[in-house]
Amino acid sequence: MFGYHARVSLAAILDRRLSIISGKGGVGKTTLAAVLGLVLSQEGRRTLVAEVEGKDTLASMFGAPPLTTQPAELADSLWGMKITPEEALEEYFDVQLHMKRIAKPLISSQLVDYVTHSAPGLRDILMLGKVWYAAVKRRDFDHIVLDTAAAGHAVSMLRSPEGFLHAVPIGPLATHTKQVLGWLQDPSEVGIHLASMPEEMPVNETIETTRMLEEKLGMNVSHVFMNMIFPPISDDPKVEAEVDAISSPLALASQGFGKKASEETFRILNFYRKRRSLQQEHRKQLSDELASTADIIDLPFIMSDVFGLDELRQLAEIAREQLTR
Amino acid sequence: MKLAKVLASEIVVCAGSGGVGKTTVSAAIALEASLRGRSTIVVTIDPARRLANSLGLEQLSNTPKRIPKEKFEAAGLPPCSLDAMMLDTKTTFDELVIRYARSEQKARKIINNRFYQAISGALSGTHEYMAMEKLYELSMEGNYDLIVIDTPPTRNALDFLDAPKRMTSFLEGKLLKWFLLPAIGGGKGLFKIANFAAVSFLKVVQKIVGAQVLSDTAEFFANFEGMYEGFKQRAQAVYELLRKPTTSFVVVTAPTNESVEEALFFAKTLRSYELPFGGLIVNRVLPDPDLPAKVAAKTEAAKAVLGLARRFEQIALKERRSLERLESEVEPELWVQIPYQTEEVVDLKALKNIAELIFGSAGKRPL
Repeated sequence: MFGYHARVSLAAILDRRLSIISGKGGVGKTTLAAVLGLVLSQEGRRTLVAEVEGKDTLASMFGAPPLTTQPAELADSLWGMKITPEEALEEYFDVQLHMKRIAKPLISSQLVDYVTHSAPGLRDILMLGKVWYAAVKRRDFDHIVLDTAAAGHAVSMLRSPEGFLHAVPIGPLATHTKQVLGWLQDPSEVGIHLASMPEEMPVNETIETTRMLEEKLGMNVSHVFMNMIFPPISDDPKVEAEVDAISSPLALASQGFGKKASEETFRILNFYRKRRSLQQEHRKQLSDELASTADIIDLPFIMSDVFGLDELRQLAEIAREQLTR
Repeated sequence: MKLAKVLASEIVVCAGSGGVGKTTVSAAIALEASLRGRSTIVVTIDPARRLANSLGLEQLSNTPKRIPKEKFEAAGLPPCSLDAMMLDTKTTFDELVIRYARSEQKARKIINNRFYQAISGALSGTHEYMAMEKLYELSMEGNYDLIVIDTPPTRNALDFLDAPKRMTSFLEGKLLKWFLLPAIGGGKGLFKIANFAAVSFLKVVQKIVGAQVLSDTAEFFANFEGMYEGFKQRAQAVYELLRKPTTSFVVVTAPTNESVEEALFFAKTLRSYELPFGGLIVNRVLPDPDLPAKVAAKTEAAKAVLGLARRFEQIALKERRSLERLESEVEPELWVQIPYQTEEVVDLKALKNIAELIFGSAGKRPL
């Protein structure tokens, strides 16, 4: 009401069993899943990053072979795996319904493939169910980070159990779905983290998603991670102020640059400044609208032509620092 | 002029994976065509709000809206015949059901069916199918010289091509109907027909999901019976429309390795589907690095700025390598790059600039 918001600390995230990562395609969801996975594992949690649809990006960031449906070690205390609806269904029949014999022929009949490919909601439910089972019942890991589908949407995914209950109101499947839904809505167990970046569409989408989750599902977004924020040009504020004072190629020429170098460098500097100030506008819009609802964590744009474990560790440290502030 | 065929087409389909700027490119193509005197409509799925506003679109609507004269005047452009529309998938689906249902009563039954309600918004391929449906309708009405259609964001561009097939085959429901046959055969009691495998399957399903779901689903397919042919013919007609030489598929991509590979694969797939490839647009390309190898920086500030420039040079070089790959695969007149802009594209003036960068003439270098 009065802009008050109890900050969700790293400790609160560590106490949870699941972190769901969502956001539009192209905003760095997988990077965030990897970063959060690193942060949690560095705190000593046995952490599993589960990917709903593997593009093999996660594994390649860690220099690991493509993920399979079995957990594979990515770093100390950190594992990665793929989850598929087929395998989730098979497990469901086996451990929940005790109908293992039926599962195999059902899956090989292609009916499952056909239905789950047609109805993404059903895929979502199967996978959320599997994650629930792994996090609550099996407990092979202390924490699961779920990297959701690129084309999917947090709201539709998290509403899928509800929609499903509308179509399937009774029976064991309905009972299980209700159980999973109740768990997902418990902020002490499950946190929703949105990946975003400081551009118009992603910021609007983040704001809308946050509101819809609140209005339609009564769920709060734990953190918004802003990816790819252009950092200051120098870490030293004094030098940064001197950089700010550079207002023409001539200024660079007077500091030792040749004519061509000063023109070219100034062109890049100018581009960087303009995009950075656009970013700051969008970043401000996000704070203005969400500051009282969700914590915002800023992750810098890593200006490098490679992106691997070193870069991930760098981001994890920056995230950890903000989460414990 | 590069991509010349695109502006002369009757239909332009903009495809590509999410977040690459498809909507902006679609709008820029439509604007350019209208400025060249062709009556044009751009159909978008999920535009950025400010771009939508600049096109005069405030909300989802299934009716075309003319872009007001003032928007053109504000951009220093002559007013043109340019319409825009933001597709409402659910309404399009309902309209389609109403069109093909045998009676109004049947249509109402389907629209009120719980199974239909559950699938009509969520069935994968629905957005793509409905976009194609709208395209067909607009094309048949014949009010426009050019229809530009922006495709929905999909995980990969190929989803879009297979979507109509996936959706019609779901609606045809051969497999599902076989399993549901005892339930559809209804009347005489659920499990009387001697289809042993289907009956035992149904028993399991009923146990898990309850009888209500089965009867909703069965009712849906029973009511849909007979409509499916209409849907299928329509999908076929759309497919033929897309194959016409007067159609152009434009593939939009980002200048990263991953995105370029995906775009190339998509362009190849278009050919194998016998769909006309109109060109490839690489969006947000950093300019060619042109820094001397040795630069003397005397102050800390100069060193910091040089460090920034060097890192940008590295990224630009990486992009360059992705583009070289493109160069070796695509004819030069069939692909263009749009330089990364310092401003966001939110009005007709900025769209015109993008159009010039695509189709040549006085496009400004942004940096």
